[in-house]
Amino acid sequence: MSASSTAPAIEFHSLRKSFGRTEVLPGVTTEVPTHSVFGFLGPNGAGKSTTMKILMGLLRPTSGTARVLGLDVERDSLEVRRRVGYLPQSPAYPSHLTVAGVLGLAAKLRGVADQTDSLLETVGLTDRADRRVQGLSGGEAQRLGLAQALVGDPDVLILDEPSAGLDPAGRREVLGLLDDLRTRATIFYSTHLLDDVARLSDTIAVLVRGEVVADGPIDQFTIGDTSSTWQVRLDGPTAAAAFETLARQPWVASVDCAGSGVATVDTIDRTTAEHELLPVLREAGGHVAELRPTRRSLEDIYFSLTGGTNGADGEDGTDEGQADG
Amino acid sequence: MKGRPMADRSRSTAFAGVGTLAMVELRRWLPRRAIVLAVASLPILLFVTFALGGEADTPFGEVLAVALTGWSIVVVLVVVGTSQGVLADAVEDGTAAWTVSMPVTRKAYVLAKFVGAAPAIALGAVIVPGLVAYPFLAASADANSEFGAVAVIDALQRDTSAYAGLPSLGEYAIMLSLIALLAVYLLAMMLLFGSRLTSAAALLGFGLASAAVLIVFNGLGIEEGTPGVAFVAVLPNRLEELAVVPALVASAAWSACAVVIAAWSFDRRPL
Repeated sequence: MSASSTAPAIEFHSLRKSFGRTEVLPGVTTEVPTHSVFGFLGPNGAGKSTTMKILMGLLRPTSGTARVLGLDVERDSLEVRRRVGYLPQSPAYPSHLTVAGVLGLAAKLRGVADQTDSLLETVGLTDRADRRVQGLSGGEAQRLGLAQALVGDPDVLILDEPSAGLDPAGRREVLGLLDDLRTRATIFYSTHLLDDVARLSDTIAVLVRGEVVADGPIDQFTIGDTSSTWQVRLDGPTAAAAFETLARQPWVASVDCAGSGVATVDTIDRTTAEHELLPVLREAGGHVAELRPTRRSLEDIYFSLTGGTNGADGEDGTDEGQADG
Repeated sequence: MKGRPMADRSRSTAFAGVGTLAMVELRRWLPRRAIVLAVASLPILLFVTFALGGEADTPFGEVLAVALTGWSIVVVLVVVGTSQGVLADAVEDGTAAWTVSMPVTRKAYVLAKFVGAAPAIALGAVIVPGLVAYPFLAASADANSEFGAVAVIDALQRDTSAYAGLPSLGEYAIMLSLIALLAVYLLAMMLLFGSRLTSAAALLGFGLASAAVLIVFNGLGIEEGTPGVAFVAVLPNRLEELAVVPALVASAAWSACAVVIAAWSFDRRPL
Protein backbone atom coordinates (compact mmCIF):
# COMPACT_ATOMS: atom_id res chain seq x y z
CA MET A 1 0.00 0.00 0.00
CA SER A 2 1.48 3.34 -0.94
CA ALA A 3 0.44 6.75 0.13
CA SER A 4 -0.54 9.31 -2.46
CA SER A 5 1.84 12.22 -2.97
CA THR A 6 -0.51 14.66 -1.28
CA ALA A 7 -1.07 12.51 1.78
CA PRO A 8 1.09 13.29 4.79
CA ALA A 9 4.15 11.09 5.16
CA ILE A 10 3.49 10.75 8.88
CA GLU A 11 0.32 11.45 10.81
CA PHE A 12 -0.76 10.73 14.32
CA HIS A 13 -4.06 11.45 15.95
CA SER A 14 -4.77 11.60 19.67
CA LEU A 15 -1.69 9.51 20.30
CA ARG A 16 -1.48 8.61 23.98
CA LYS A 17 1.19 6.75 25.90
CA SER A 18 1.24 5.97 29.58
CA PHE A 19 3.77 4.06 31.63
CA GLY A 20 1.80 2.83 34.58
CA ARG A 21 0.17 5.88 36.06
CA THR A 22 2.53 8.30 34.36
CA GLU A 23 1.09 9.77 31.21
CA VAL A 24 3.95 10.73 28.89
CA LEU A 25 1.82 11.62 25.88
CA PRO A 26 -1.68 12.85 26.72
CA GLY A 27 -2.82 12.93 23.09
CA VAL A 28 -0.58 14.15 20.29
CA THR A 29 -2.02 15.07 16.92
CA THR A 30 0.00 16.35 13.99
CA GLU A 31 0.89 15.67 10.38
CA VAL A 32 4.26 15.64 8.65
CA PRO A 33 3.94 16.70 4.98
CA THR A 34 5.57 14.48 2.38
CA HIS A 35 9.04 15.70 1.31
CA SER A 36 9.25 18.12 4.21
CA VAL A 37 12.07 18.53 6.69
CA PHE A 38 10.01 18.47 9.84
CA GLY A 39 11.57 19.67 13.08
CA PHE A 40 9.98 18.14 16.16
CA LEU A 41 10.83 20.67 18.83
CA GLY A 42 10.46 20.48 22.54
CA PRO A 43 12.27 20.54 25.85
CA ASN A 44 13.67 17.41 27.47
CA GLY A 45 10.90 15.14 28.65
CA ALA A 46 8.34 16.56 26.24
CA GLY A 47 7.72 13.16 24.64
CA LYS A 48 9.64 13.48 21.37
CA SER A 49 11.54 10.21 21.70
CA THR A 50 8.45 8.41 22.94
CA THR A 51 6.52 9.54 19.86
CA MET A 52 9.30 8.39 17.55
CA LYS A 53 9.58 5.04 19.30
CA ILE A 54 5.86 4.50 18.82
CA LEU A 55 6.26 5.22 15.10
CA MET A 56 9.06 2.62 14.92
CA GLY A 57 7.14 -0.03 16.85
CA LEU A 58 9.49 0.11 19.83
CA LEU A 59 6.63 1.23 22.06
CA ARG A 60 2.94 0.52 21.79
CA PRO A 61 0.59 3.48 22.09
CA THR A 62 -1.93 3.36 24.91
CA SER A 63 -4.50 4.72 22.48
CA GLY A 64 -4.77 6.78 19.32
CA THR A 65 -3.54 6.09 15.82
CA ALA A 66 -0.29 6.68 14.00
CA ARG A 67 0.36 6.15 10.31
CA VAL A 68 3.55 6.34 8.28
CA LEU A 69 3.23 6.45 4.49
CA GLY A 70 -0.39 5.49 4.99
CA LEU A 71 0.56 2.38 6.97
CA ASP A 72 -0.67 1.74 10.48
CA VAL A 73 2.39 1.60 12.74
CA GLU A 74 0.98 -1.25 14.80
CA ARG A 75 -0.73 -3.40 12.19
CA ASP A 76 1.83 -2.85 9.42
CA SER A 77 4.85 -2.41 11.65
CA LEU A 78 7.23 -4.55 9.58
CA GLU A 79 6.40 -2.70 6.37
CA VAL A 80 6.77 0.65 8.14
CA ARG A 81 10.21 -0.36 9.40
CA ARG A 82 11.16 -1.55 5.92
CA ARG A 83 10.37 1.86 4.42
CA VAL A 84 11.64 4.06 7.23
CA GLY A 85 15.21 4.76 8.26
CA TYR A 86 15.58 5.38 11.99
CA LEU A 87 18.35 6.95 14.01
CA PRO A 88 17.82 6.35 17.74
CA GLN A 89 18.85 8.99 20.24
CA SER A 90 21.76 6.83 21.42
CA PRO A 91 22.38 4.33 18.64
CA ALA A 92 24.10 1.10 19.68
CA TYR A 93 25.30 -1.74 17.47
CA PRO A 94 26.75 -5.18 18.20
CA SER A 95 30.11 -4.17 19.59
CA HIS A 96 32.17 -6.76 17.72
CA LEU A 97 31.07 -5.43 14.32
CA THR A 98 33.04 -3.01 12.20
CA VAL A 99 31.55 0.10 10.61
CA ALA A 100 31.17 -1.75 7.31
CA GLY A 101 29.80 -4.74 9.19
CA VAL A 102 26.98 -2.65 10.68
CA LEU A 103 25.96 -1.37 7.25
CA GLY A 104 26.19 -4.87 5.79
CA LEU A 105 24.02 -6.23 8.58
CA ALA A 106 21.46 -3.46 8.09
CA ALA A 107 21.30 -4.26 4.36
CA LYS A 108 20.77 -7.96 5.04
CA LEU A 109 18.04 -7.28 7.56
CA ARG A 110 16.32 -4.90 5.17
CA GLY A 111 16.67 -7.38 2.34
CA VAL A 112 18.43 -4.94 0.02
CA ALA A 113 21.72 -5.02 -1.83
CA ASP A 114 24.81 -4.01 0.09
CA GLN A 115 25.37 -0.24 -0.31
CA THR A 116 28.22 -0.02 2.16
CA ASP A 117 30.77 1.70 -0.07
CA SER A 118 28.45 4.39 -1.35
CA LEU A 119 26.96 5.07 2.08
CA LEU A 120 30.38 5.31 3.70
CA GLU A 121 31.31 7.83 1.04
CA THR A 122 28.08 9.75 1.62
CA VAL A 123 28.76 10.15 5.32
CA GLY A 124 32.53 10.50 4.99
CA LEU A 125 33.49 7.32 6.81
CA THR A 126 35.27 5.45 4.03
CA ASP A 127 38.55 5.43 5.92
CA ARG A 128 36.80 4.02 9.01
CA ALA A 129 35.19 1.07 7.23
CA ASP A 130 37.21 -1.58 9.08
CA ARG A 131 37.19 0.09 12.45
CA ARG A 132 35.14 -1.51 15.22
CA VAL A 133 32.11 0.53 16.21
CA GLN A 134 33.38 0.66 19.79
CA GLY A 135 36.32 2.81 18.68
CA LEU A 136 34.35 5.55 16.93
CA SER A 137 34.19 9.12 18.14
CA GLY A 138 30.81 10.69 18.89
CA GLY A 139 30.65 12.42 15.51
CA GLU A 140 31.67 9.29 13.64
CA ALA A 141 29.11 7.21 15.51
CA GLN A 142 26.41 9.72 14.63
CA ARG A 143 27.42 9.67 10.96
CA LEU A 144 27.33 5.88 11.04
CA GLY A 145 23.86 6.22 12.55
CA LEU A 146 22.79 8.31 9.60
CA ALA A 147 24.39 5.88 7.15
CA GLN A 148 22.55 2.87 8.60
CA ALA A 149 19.31 4.87 8.51
CA LEU A 150 19.88 5.42 4.79
CA VAL A 151 20.31 1.74 3.96
CA GLY A 152 17.70 0.78 1.38
CA ASP A 153 17.06 4.42 0.48
CA PRO A 154 14.01 4.78 2.73
CA ASP A 155 11.11 7.07 1.90
CA VAL A 156 11.05 8.52 5.40
CA LEU A 157 13.85 9.26 7.86
CA ILE A 158 13.01 9.44 11.55
CA LEU A 159 15.97 10.90 13.38
CA ASP A 160 16.02 11.34 17.13
CA GLU A 161 18.30 14.28 17.91
CA PRO A 162 20.71 13.70 15.02
CA SER A 163 23.11 16.46 16.05
CA ALA A 164 23.01 15.92 19.80
CA GLY A 165 26.33 15.62 21.56
CA LEU A 166 28.38 16.72 18.58
CA ASP A 167 31.04 19.40 18.55
CA PRO A 168 30.42 22.37 16.22
CA ALA A 169 32.32 20.79 13.33
CA GLY A 170 30.50 17.48 13.70
CA ARG A 171 27.19 19.27 13.95
CA ARG A 172 27.88 21.24 10.80
CA GLU A 173 28.74 18.01 8.96
CA VAL A 174 25.56 16.26 10.08
CA LEU A 175 23.34 19.24 9.26
CA GLY A 176 24.98 19.51 5.86
CA LEU A 177 24.30 15.86 5.28
CA LEU A 178 20.65 16.24 6.23
CA ASP A 179 20.39 19.25 3.95
CA ASP A 180 21.63 17.09 1.08
CA LEU A 181 19.08 14.42 1.93
CA ARG A 182 16.04 16.68 1.81
CA THR A 183 15.39 15.86 -1.84
CA ARG A 184 15.55 12.10 -1.23
CA ALA A 185 13.23 11.56 1.72
CA THR A 186 10.83 13.09 4.15
CA ILE A 187 12.87 13.93 7.23
CA PHE A 188 11.18 13.90 10.63
CA TYR A 189 13.70 14.80 13.29
CA SER A 190 13.63 15.84 16.90
CA THR A 191 15.82 18.44 18.48
CA HIS A 192 15.93 21.17 21.04
CA LEU A 193 18.65 23.05 19.18
CA LEU A 194 16.87 26.03 17.64
CA ASP A 195 19.76 26.92 15.35
CA ASP A 196 19.43 23.52 13.71
CA VAL A 197 15.72 24.06 13.15
CA ALA A 198 16.19 27.52 11.71
CA ARG A 199 18.81 26.22 9.31
CA LEU A 200 17.18 22.99 8.24
CA SER A 201 13.43 22.80 8.76
CA ASP A 202 10.64 23.94 6.52
CA THR A 203 7.95 22.73 8.93
CA ILE A 204 7.95 22.41 12.70
CA ALA A 205 5.84 21.23 15.59
CA VAL A 206 6.47 22.24 19.18
CA LEU A 207 5.78 19.58 21.78
CA VAL A 208 5.36 20.57 25.40
CA ARG A 209 4.53 18.02 28.09
CA GLY A 210 3.28 15.58 25.50
CA GLU A 211 1.07 18.03 23.62
CA VAL A 212 1.66 19.77 20.30
CA VAL A 213 1.19 23.43 21.16
CA ALA A 214 1.96 24.71 17.65
CA ASP A 215 2.75 23.27 14.25
CA GLY A 216 3.00 24.42 10.66
CA PRO A 217 5.43 25.93 8.13
CA ILE A 218 8.30 27.64 9.88
CA ASP A 219 7.59 30.96 8.12
CA GLN A 220 4.20 30.97 9.77
CA PHE A 221 6.01 31.27 13.08
CA THR A 222 8.86 33.57 12.18
CA ILE A 223 6.92 36.00 9.98
CA GLY A 224 3.56 35.48 11.59
CA ASP A 225 0.28 34.16 10.31
CA THR A 226 -2.44 36.59 11.35
CA SER A 227 -0.42 38.96 13.46
CA SER A 228 2.70 40.75 12.23
CA THR A 229 5.41 43.10 13.42
CA TRP A 230 6.77 45.99 11.38
CA GLN A 231 9.83 48.15 11.61
CA VAL A 232 9.02 51.80 10.66
CA ARG A 233 11.32 54.82 10.22
CA LEU A 234 9.84 58.24 9.50
CA ASP A 235 11.73 61.37 8.54
CA GLY A 236 10.84 64.89 9.61
CA PRO A 237 9.12 66.53 12.60
CA THR A 238 5.74 64.88 11.97
CA ALA A 239 6.94 61.42 12.96
CA ALA A 240 5.62 61.47 16.54
CA ALA A 241 2.16 62.62 15.46
CA ALA A 242 2.03 60.01 12.74
CA PHE A 243 2.89 57.26 15.24
CA GLU A 244 0.15 58.52 17.57
CA THR A 245 -2.37 58.32 14.73
CA LEU A 246 -1.17 54.84 13.88
CA ALA A 247 -1.52 53.66 17.48
CA ARG A 248 -5.24 54.57 17.40
CA GLN A 249 -5.99 52.18 14.52
CA PRO A 250 -8.08 49.16 15.60
CA TRP A 251 -5.76 46.68 13.85
CA VAL A 252 -2.67 48.00 15.66
CA ALA A 253 -1.74 46.33 18.91
CA SER A 254 1.11 48.58 19.93
CA VAL A 255 3.57 51.16 18.66
CA ASP A 256 6.91 51.11 20.43
CA CYS A 257 8.81 54.31 19.64
CA ALA A 258 12.59 54.04 19.92
CA GLY A 259 13.26 57.72 19.14
CA SER A 260 14.70 59.38 16.01
CA GLY A 261 11.52 58.51 14.09
CA VAL A 262 11.95 54.79 14.54
CA ALA A 263 9.22 52.52 15.94
CA THR A 264 8.26 48.88 16.14
CA VAL A 265 4.61 48.34 15.28
CA ASP A 266 2.74 45.19 16.34
CA THR A 267 -0.46 44.52 14.43
CA ILE A 268 -3.21 42.02 15.07
CA ASP A 269 -4.30 41.69 11.44
CA ARG A 270 -1.55 41.02 8.97
CA THR A 271 -3.63 41.53 5.82
CA THR A 272 -5.07 44.85 6.96
CA ALA A 273 -1.63 46.01 8.03
CA GLU A 274 -0.18 45.22 4.61
CA HIS A 275 -2.88 47.37 2.94
CA GLU A 276 -3.36 50.17 5.48
CA LEU A 277 -0.05 50.79 7.18
CA LEU A 278 1.56 52.94 4.50
CA PRO A 279 -1.60 55.02 3.63
CA VAL A 280 -2.34 55.74 7.29
CA LEU A 281 1.20 56.95 7.94
CA ARG A 282 1.15 59.16 4.84
CA GLU A 283 -2.27 60.63 5.66
CA ALA A 284 -0.97 61.42 9.14
CA GLY A 285 1.84 63.45 7.56
CA GLY A 286 4.62 60.96 8.00
CA HIS A 287 7.48 60.77 5.52
CA VAL A 288 8.12 57.05 5.33
CA ALA A 289 11.85 56.34 4.95
CA GLU A 290 11.65 52.65 5.84
CA LEU A 291 8.83 50.14 6.30
CA ARG A 292 9.50 46.42 6.56
CA PRO A 293 8.04 43.38 8.30
CA THR A 294 10.33 41.92 10.93
CA ARG A 295 10.88 38.25 11.60
CA ARG A 296 10.49 37.13 15.15
CA SER A 297 13.38 35.06 16.39
CA LEU A 298 12.68 31.36 16.65
CA GLU A 299 14.04 31.48 20.17
CA ASP A 300 11.42 34.05 21.19
CA ILE A 301 8.68 31.97 19.63
CA TYR A 302 9.94 28.78 21.24
CA PHE A 303 10.12 30.25 24.69
CA SER A 304 6.72 31.90 24.34
CA LEU A 305 5.24 28.51 23.38
CA THR A 306 7.04 26.46 25.99
CA GLY A 307 6.76 29.04 28.72
CA GLY A 308 10.52 29.12 28.95
CA THR A 309 10.63 25.60 30.35
CA ASN A 310 13.47 23.20 29.93
CA GLY A 311 11.18 20.35 30.92
CA ALA A 312 12.16 17.33 32.91
CA ASP A 313 15.67 16.17 32.23
CA GLY A 314 16.36 12.76 30.77
CA GLU A 315 13.51 11.87 28.56
CA ASP A 316 14.91 8.48 27.82
CA GLY A 317 15.56 7.85 31.43
CA THR A 318 11.89 8.49 32.07
CA ASP A 319 10.89 6.11 29.32
CA GLU A 320 13.11 3.30 30.44
CA GLY A 321 12.41 3.77 34.08
CA GLN A 322 8.71 3.57 33.50
CA ALA A 323 9.05 0.71 31.09
CA ASP A 324 10.84 -1.36 33.65
CA GLY A 325 8.57 -0.36 36.38
CA MET B 1 20.19 5.47 -5.06
CA LYS B 2 17.28 3.12 -4.53
CA GLY B 3 18.24 -0.08 -2.74
CA ARG B 4 17.74 -2.98 -5.10
CA PRO B 5 15.72 -5.83 -3.66
CA MET B 6 18.15 -8.66 -3.03
CA ALA B 7 15.51 -11.30 -2.60
CA ASP B 8 11.84 -10.91 -1.90
CA ARG B 9 11.43 -7.37 -0.63
CA SER B 10 7.90 -8.09 0.44
CA ARG B 11 8.96 -10.85 2.80
CA SER B 12 7.16 -10.31 6.00
CA THR B 13 7.39 -13.61 7.73
CA ALA B 14 7.78 -13.54 11.45
CA PHE B 15 11.15 -15.24 11.31
CA ALA B 16 12.92 -13.39 8.50
CA GLY B 17 16.42 -12.44 9.57
CA VAL B 18 16.85 -15.21 12.15
CA GLY B 19 19.79 -16.76 10.31
CA THR B 20 21.57 -13.44 9.86
CA LEU B 21 21.09 -12.40 13.47
CA ALA B 22 22.00 -15.87 14.77
CA MET B 23 25.33 -15.64 12.95
CA VAL B 24 25.92 -12.21 14.48
CA GLU B 25 25.24 -13.66 17.94
CA LEU B 26 27.42 -16.69 17.31
CA ARG B 27 30.30 -14.47 16.21
CA ARG B 28 29.82 -12.45 19.37
CA TRP B 29 30.54 -15.61 21.36
CA LEU B 30 33.17 -17.26 19.19
CA PRO B 31 35.95 -17.71 19.70
CA ARG B 32 36.87 -15.58 22.67
CA ARG B 33 33.94 -16.11 25.02
CA ALA B 34 33.65 -19.80 24.21
CA ILE B 35 37.34 -20.33 24.92
CA VAL B 36 36.97 -18.55 28.24
CA LEU B 37 34.07 -20.89 29.06
CA ALA B 38 36.13 -23.95 28.15
CA VAL B 39 39.16 -22.81 30.07
CA ALA B 40 37.00 -22.13 33.11
CA SER B 41 35.17 -25.43 32.88
CA LEU B 42 37.86 -28.01 32.05
CA PRO B 43 40.10 -27.78 35.11
CA ILE B 44 37.11 -28.18 37.41
CA LEU B 45 36.11 -31.46 35.76
CA LEU B 46 39.66 -32.77 35.90
CA PHE B 47 40.21 -31.66 39.46
CA VAL B 48 37.03 -33.30 40.72
CA THR B 49 37.73 -36.54 38.88
CA PHE B 50 41.33 -36.86 40.00
CA ALA B 51 40.47 -35.89 43.54
CA LEU B 52 37.88 -38.64 43.73
CA GLY B 53 39.75 -41.11 41.55
CA GLY B 54 42.57 -41.39 44.01
CA GLU B 55 40.37 -43.18 46.54
CA ALA B 56 41.15 -46.87 46.83
CA ASP B 57 38.67 -49.57 45.81
CA THR B 58 36.21 -47.15 44.20
CA PRO B 59 34.95 -48.32 40.78
CA PHE B 60 35.85 -45.64 38.29
CA GLY B 61 32.33 -45.62 36.86
CA GLU B 62 31.05 -44.32 40.18
CA VAL B 63 33.86 -41.83 40.43
CA LEU B 64 33.05 -40.54 36.97
CA ALA B 65 29.34 -40.33 37.73
CA VAL B 66 29.92 -38.24 40.81
CA ALA B 67 32.49 -36.11 38.99
CA LEU B 68 30.23 -35.43 36.03
CA THR B 69 27.25 -34.65 38.25
CA GLY B 70 29.36 -32.22 40.24
CA TRP B 71 30.70 -30.77 37.03
CA SER B 72 27.14 -30.36 35.73
CA ILE B 73 26.38 -28.12 38.68
CA VAL B 74 29.48 -26.09 37.90
CA VAL B 75 28.38 -25.85 34.26
CA VAL B 76 24.98 -24.61 35.43
CA LEU B 77 26.59 -21.84 37.44
CA VAL B 78 28.94 -20.91 34.59
CA VAL B 79 26.09 -20.80 32.08
CA VAL B 80 23.83 -18.77 34.35
CA GLY B 81 26.66 -16.32 34.97
CA THR B 82 27.71 -15.92 31.36
CA SER B 83 24.33 -15.93 29.65
CA GLN B 84 22.47 -13.59 31.97
CA GLY B 85 23.17 -10.65 29.66
CA VAL B 86 22.35 -12.30 26.34
CA LEU B 87 19.09 -10.38 26.06
CA ALA B 88 19.17 -8.02 29.02
CA ASP B 89 22.43 -6.35 27.99
CA ALA B 90 21.17 -5.84 24.46
CA VAL B 91 18.08 -4.11 25.84
CA GLU B 92 20.12 -2.05 28.25
CA ASP B 93 22.72 -0.81 25.74
CA GLY B 94 20.22 -0.14 22.94
CA THR B 95 21.40 -2.86 20.54
CA ALA B 96 18.03 -4.60 20.75
CA ALA B 97 16.16 -1.38 19.96
CA TRP B 98 18.38 -0.72 16.95
CA THR B 99 17.97 -4.25 15.65
CA VAL B 100 14.21 -4.38 15.95
CA SER B 101 13.92 -0.97 14.32
CA MET B 102 14.85 -2.94 11.20
CA PRO B 103 12.19 -5.07 9.51
CA VAL B 104 12.74 -7.87 12.00
CA THR B 105 10.16 -9.19 14.43
CA ARG B 106 11.02 -9.42 18.09
CA LYS B 107 10.23 -13.13 18.00
CA ALA B 108 12.89 -13.54 15.33
CA TYR B 109 15.32 -11.52 17.42
CA VAL B 110 14.85 -13.68 20.53
CA LEU B 111 15.03 -16.89 18.51
CA ALA B 112 18.23 -15.69 16.83
CA LYS B 113 19.78 -14.92 20.21
CA PHE B 114 19.03 -18.48 21.30
CA VAL B 115 20.10 -20.16 18.07
CA GLY B 116 23.33 -18.15 17.98
CA ALA B 117 24.33 -18.51 21.63
CA ALA B 118 23.28 -22.14 22.21
CA PRO B 119 26.00 -23.84 20.14
CA ALA B 120 28.66 -21.52 21.54
CA ILE B 121 27.64 -22.27 25.12
CA ALA B 122 27.22 -26.00 24.50
CA LEU B 123 30.59 -26.22 22.78
CA GLY B 124 32.47 -23.89 25.09
CA ALA B 125 31.08 -24.92 28.45
CA VAL B 126 30.50 -28.66 27.89
CA ILE B 127 31.47 -30.43 24.67
CA VAL B 128 35.01 -29.13 24.12
CA PRO B 129 36.21 -29.33 27.75
CA GLY B 130 34.42 -32.66 28.16
CA LEU B 131 36.12 -34.21 25.15
CA VAL B 132 39.48 -32.74 26.07
CA ALA B 133 39.06 -34.29 29.51
CA TYR B 134 38.36 -37.81 28.18
CA PRO B 135 41.97 -38.97 27.83
CA PHE B 136 42.74 -37.56 31.25
CA LEU B 137 39.79 -39.46 32.68
CA ALA B 138 40.98 -42.60 30.96
CA ALA B 139 44.34 -42.15 32.57
CA SER B 140 42.72 -41.62 35.92
CA ALA B 141 40.64 -44.78 35.46
CA ASP B 142 43.82 -46.75 35.61
CA ALA B 143 44.09 -46.88 39.37
CA ASN B 144 47.70 -47.78 39.19
CA SER B 145 48.76 -44.96 36.95
CA GLU B 146 50.29 -41.80 38.18
CA PHE B 147 48.63 -38.52 37.36
CA GLY B 148 50.55 -36.74 34.66
CA ALA B 149 51.32 -36.45 31.01
CA VAL B 150 52.98 -39.87 30.88
CA ALA B 151 49.84 -41.52 32.23
CA VAL B 152 47.63 -39.73 29.72
CA ILE B 153 49.80 -40.80 26.79
CA ASP B 154 49.97 -44.29 28.21
CA ALA B 155 46.20 -44.47 28.54
CA LEU B 156 45.61 -43.20 25.04
CA GLN B 157 47.77 -46.00 23.66
CA ARG B 158 45.81 -48.70 25.42
CA ASP B 159 42.34 -50.15 25.03
CA THR B 160 40.49 -48.12 27.62
CA SER B 161 37.38 -50.28 27.35
CA ALA B 162 39.20 -52.76 29.53
CA TYR B 163 38.89 -50.42 32.51
CA ALA B 164 36.00 -51.19 34.80
CA GLY B 165 33.39 -48.48 34.66
CA LEU B 166 35.01 -46.25 32.09
CA PRO B 167 32.36 -45.48 29.48
CA SER B 168 33.15 -45.78 25.82
CA LEU B 169 33.67 -42.53 23.94
CA GLY B 170 30.19 -42.95 22.46
CA GLU B 171 28.54 -43.33 25.87
CA TYR B 172 30.60 -40.47 27.17
CA ALA B 173 29.48 -38.30 24.26
CA ILE B 174 25.85 -39.02 25.13
CA MET B 175 26.50 -37.93 28.69
CA LEU B 176 28.10 -34.73 27.45
CA SER B 177 25.15 -34.11 25.13
CA LEU B 178 22.76 -34.33 28.03
CA ILE B 179 24.82 -31.89 30.06
CA ALA B 180 25.01 -29.63 26.99
CA LEU B 181 21.22 -29.74 26.71
CA LEU B 182 20.99 -28.77 30.34
CA ALA B 183 23.24 -25.79 29.58
CA VAL B 184 21.07 -24.86 26.59
CA TYR B 185 17.93 -25.13 28.71
CA LEU B 186 19.42 -22.69 31.21
CA LEU B 187 20.32 -20.34 28.37
CA ALA B 188 16.65 -20.45 27.34
CA MET B 189 15.63 -19.68 30.91
CA MET B 190 18.03 -16.72 31.03
CA LEU B 191 16.49 -15.43 27.79
CA LEU B 192 13.08 -15.77 29.40
CA PHE B 193 14.13 -13.81 32.47
CA GLY B 194 16.01 -11.30 30.32
CA SER B 195 12.89 -10.65 28.28
CA ARG B 196 11.44 -8.78 31.27
CA LEU B 197 14.35 -7.91 33.55
CA THR B 198 17.50 -5.83 33.14
CA SER B 199 18.91 -6.00 36.67
CA ALA B 200 21.96 -8.28 36.69
CA ALA B 201 21.36 -9.25 40.31
CA ALA B 202 17.74 -10.19 39.62
CA LEU B 203 18.74 -12.20 36.56
CA LEU B 204 21.40 -14.05 38.49
CA GLY B 205 18.94 -14.74 41.31
CA PHE B 206 16.26 -16.09 39.00
CA GLY B 207 18.83 -18.15 37.08
CA LEU B 208 20.20 -19.76 40.21
CA ALA B 209 16.69 -20.34 41.51
CA SER B 210 15.70 -22.14 38.33
CA ALA B 211 18.83 -24.29 38.60
CA ALA B 212 17.97 -25.06 42.21
CA VAL B 213 14.48 -26.16 41.15
CA LEU B 214 16.05 -28.68 38.78
CA ILE B 215 18.20 -30.09 41.54
CA VAL B 216 15.17 -30.38 43.81
CA PHE B 217 13.23 -32.15 41.03
CA ASN B 218 16.06 -34.64 40.74
CA GLY B 219 16.18 -35.10 44.47
CA LEU B 220 12.46 -35.86 44.49
CA GLY B 221 12.97 -38.50 41.84
CA ILE B 222 10.72 -36.80 39.28
CA GLU B 223 13.57 -36.10 36.98
CA GLU B 224 12.41 -37.94 33.91
CA GLY B 225 10.12 -35.20 32.66
CA THR B 226 12.40 -32.31 33.43
CA PRO B 227 15.60 -31.02 31.86
CA GLY B 228 17.31 -31.91 35.12
CA VAL B 229 17.21 -35.52 33.99
CA ALA B 230 20.67 -34.81 32.66
CA PHE B 231 21.98 -34.91 36.19
CA VAL B 232 20.87 -38.50 36.53
CA ALA B 233 21.40 -39.66 32.98
CA VAL B 234 25.11 -39.05 33.25
CA LEU B 235 25.34 -41.92 35.69
CA PRO B 236 26.87 -44.60 33.49
CA ASN B 237 25.14 -47.43 35.23
CA ARG B 238 21.79 -45.85 34.47
CA LEU B 239 22.39 -45.11 30.84
CA GLU B 240 20.63 -48.28 29.83
CA GLU B 241 17.99 -48.39 32.53
CA LEU B 242 17.02 -44.77 32.01
CA ALA B 243 15.97 -44.14 28.45
CA VAL B 244 18.12 -41.40 26.98
CA VAL B 245 15.62 -40.36 24.34
CA PRO B 246 12.98 -39.09 26.80
CA ALA B 247 15.72 -37.16 28.53
CA LEU B 248 16.75 -35.53 25.27
CA VAL B 249 13.16 -34.81 24.32
CA ALA B 250 12.34 -33.40 27.74
CA SER B 251 15.34 -31.09 27.71
CA ALA B 252 14.64 -29.92 24.16
CA ALA B 253 10.93 -29.43 24.84
CA TRP B 254 11.48 -27.42 27.99
CA SER B 255 14.07 -25.28 26.20
CA ALA B 256 11.67 -24.65 23.31
CA CYS B 257 8.89 -23.69 25.75
CA ALA B 258 11.19 -21.23 27.52
CA VAL B 259 12.23 -19.62 24.21
CA VAL B 260 8.62 -19.35 23.01
CA ILE B 261 7.55 -17.68 26.25
CA ALA B 262 10.62 -15.41 26.12
CA ALA B 263 9.68 -14.33 22.58
CA TRP B 264 6.08 -13.71 23.60
CA SER B 265 7.18 -11.73 26.64
CA PHE B 266 9.78 -9.70 24.74
CA ASP B 267 7.19 -8.82 22.12
CA ARG B 268 5.36 -6.78 24.76
CA ARG B 269 8.34 -5.07 26.28
CA PRO B 270 8.91 -1.34 25.75
CA LEU B 271 12.34 -0.67 24.25
